[in-house]
Amino acid sequence: MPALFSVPTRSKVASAHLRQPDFACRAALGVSAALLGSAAVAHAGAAAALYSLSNNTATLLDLGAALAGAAAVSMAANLKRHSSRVMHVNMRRAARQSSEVLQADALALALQHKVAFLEAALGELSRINTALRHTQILLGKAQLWSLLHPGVNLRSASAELLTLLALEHPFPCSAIYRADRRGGGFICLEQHGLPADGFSQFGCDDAMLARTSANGAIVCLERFDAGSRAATHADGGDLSHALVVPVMFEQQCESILVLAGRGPFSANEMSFVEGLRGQFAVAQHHLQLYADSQLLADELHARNIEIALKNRQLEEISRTKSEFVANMSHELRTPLNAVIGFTGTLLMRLPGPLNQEQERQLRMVQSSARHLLSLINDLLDVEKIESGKFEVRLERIVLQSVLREVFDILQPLALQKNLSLGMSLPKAAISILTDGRAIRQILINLVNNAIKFTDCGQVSLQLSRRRTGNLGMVELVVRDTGVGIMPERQGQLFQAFTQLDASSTRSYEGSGLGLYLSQRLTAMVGGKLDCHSEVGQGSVFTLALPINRT
Amino acid sequence: MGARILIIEDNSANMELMRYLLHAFSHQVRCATDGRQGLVQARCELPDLIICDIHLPKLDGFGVVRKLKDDPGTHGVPVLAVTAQAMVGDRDKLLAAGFDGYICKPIEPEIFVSQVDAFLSREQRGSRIHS
Repeated sequence: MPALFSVPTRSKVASAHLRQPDFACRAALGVSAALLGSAAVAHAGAAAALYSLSNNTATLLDLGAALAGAAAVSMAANLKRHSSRVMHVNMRRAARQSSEVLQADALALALQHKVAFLEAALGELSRINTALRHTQILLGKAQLWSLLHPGVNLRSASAELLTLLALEHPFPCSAIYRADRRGGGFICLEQHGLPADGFSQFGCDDAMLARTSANGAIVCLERFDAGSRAATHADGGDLSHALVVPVMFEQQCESILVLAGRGPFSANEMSFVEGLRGQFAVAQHHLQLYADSQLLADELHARNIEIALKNRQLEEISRTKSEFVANMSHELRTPLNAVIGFTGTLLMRLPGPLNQEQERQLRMVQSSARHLLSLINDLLDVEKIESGKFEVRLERIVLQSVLREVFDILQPLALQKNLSLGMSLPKAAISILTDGRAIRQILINLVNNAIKFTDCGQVSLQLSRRRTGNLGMVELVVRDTGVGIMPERQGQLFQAFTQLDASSTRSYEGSGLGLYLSQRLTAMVGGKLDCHSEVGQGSVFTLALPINRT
Repeated sequence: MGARILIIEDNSANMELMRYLLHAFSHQVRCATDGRQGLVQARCELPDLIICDIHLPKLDGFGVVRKLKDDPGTHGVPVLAVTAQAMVGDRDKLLAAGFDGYICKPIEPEIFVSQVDAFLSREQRGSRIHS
């Protein structure tokens, strides 16, 4: 068969559709071949059938092949037959030679016409073949693109792609190289038809790959020894050209396709390759994204497991901490019981009278022991809040009475330091629904702090109503004329275990838990605790609480 | 005239403190240093009131109060828990276990005796012995 017809039609669907007309054409061809010896009309008929089926290009190919072959054979046979007939006529009718010669000339002329006609038919077939080739490329493309969908990995998609390029397209040997992100350069991901180093015979080496990736344009390489070698397909010896196709995505060359075939390649083939590289770039990018997201999903899963484990560990730690605090509290309280208790019995003068100095010293023991106890209680409170054991118990309380209570508790402390403790309350009772224990504890902490950090002047308590938008609020303000707080330290004010002067020589005792606890309790009752302070001028702590009418 | 009070407590300083205070207010005090011994003494002495720690050798405070309340002979004797357990829920847990009252350590010596007296009849309450 002539090379023109060597490209087989792979589209099974197409050939199924074409089977019927194909058969009709073959029949027509057979008839025309049988009639060829006698009439040019037969050729015209075959040609007409050919034209009528020109949309069925696949069949046309087979038909054309058969027709061309048959035409050649029948022409030869026809000539032979005609010449033998001429000889026969020569022998039998020598007398009428001159008129016979005229007949032979006419026949020769007819034959010339036939040959011209066949040449025209062959030209038409070639045109159709080109169109068919184009259709086939489009079909092949569709098949290729269907390979490159997300969900497959790049290696297996590459392997299929290269196989398809060998089976359906004029690239029996090919390879895909991937940019090596770690080591630099390119490494062969997949190859078909030739070992990875087999492409060096086309001049496609590492340097070539590097140049092409930098340049970004397709390079067509011709074999050094094209044509001189024995045509063995196993080592690519029958292939004359190789295309080095850098696959670019956003100006980056992620991979290079090397496609070897029997070149030079047609414009159609080049446009196919150009399309292929564009599609491959996008598909490769998508596969990479898919793989990345898969990796992320896996990582996320692992992270979730890790977090769950951490959570269990944290719960365990939290439980251990709670137990530790409970045990410490118990163990500290037991000896403190005897210290506070016997100091008390002595001060109650149960064992006997005390002189003034004995009583003064015993009072110091008592106050220190009480302070120690308050630290332990603060720790318990922190633990209670942090472990979620503190439950807000709502009750309706009159704020004036809470403030008076706090005032009464702390006035002796203020008097000891020669400070005046003032209080300003509105006449109309303000009652709110809140947790009385929390409010009491917050105020005790605030007033206690104010007294602690004030050496002269006064501490005052103030209660007033405020209106913020539609919200009715009450404000409880604790104001002092104490040391004040530096602006840069005010941010740490409400942190646990932070006394602003944390040096070992600090002059104020305390656990550093008071404000932290107050802040936490304020949040639990839906309030807001703010501080305004100036060094040397004093501090103002404002506890704002919503008035809940229900 | 005071009451007969049994203290079950393993810490000697705390035992001494409570004994001293109660005695100072004219109560008669008996002592036991572990749960099992306290139970035996409670059954044979039948005191007017029992003060019981929770962390105790041999039988803890919960075991003691359960056995006392299960026993018809000691069922009516008020039992006070005096303990350093001060965590949230401890009070409710103790009352649910059968204790009649709960005083958290450290005790306040000025009011301890009156807290105890609240569980005694008028005649049994203590009065200050002037030294």
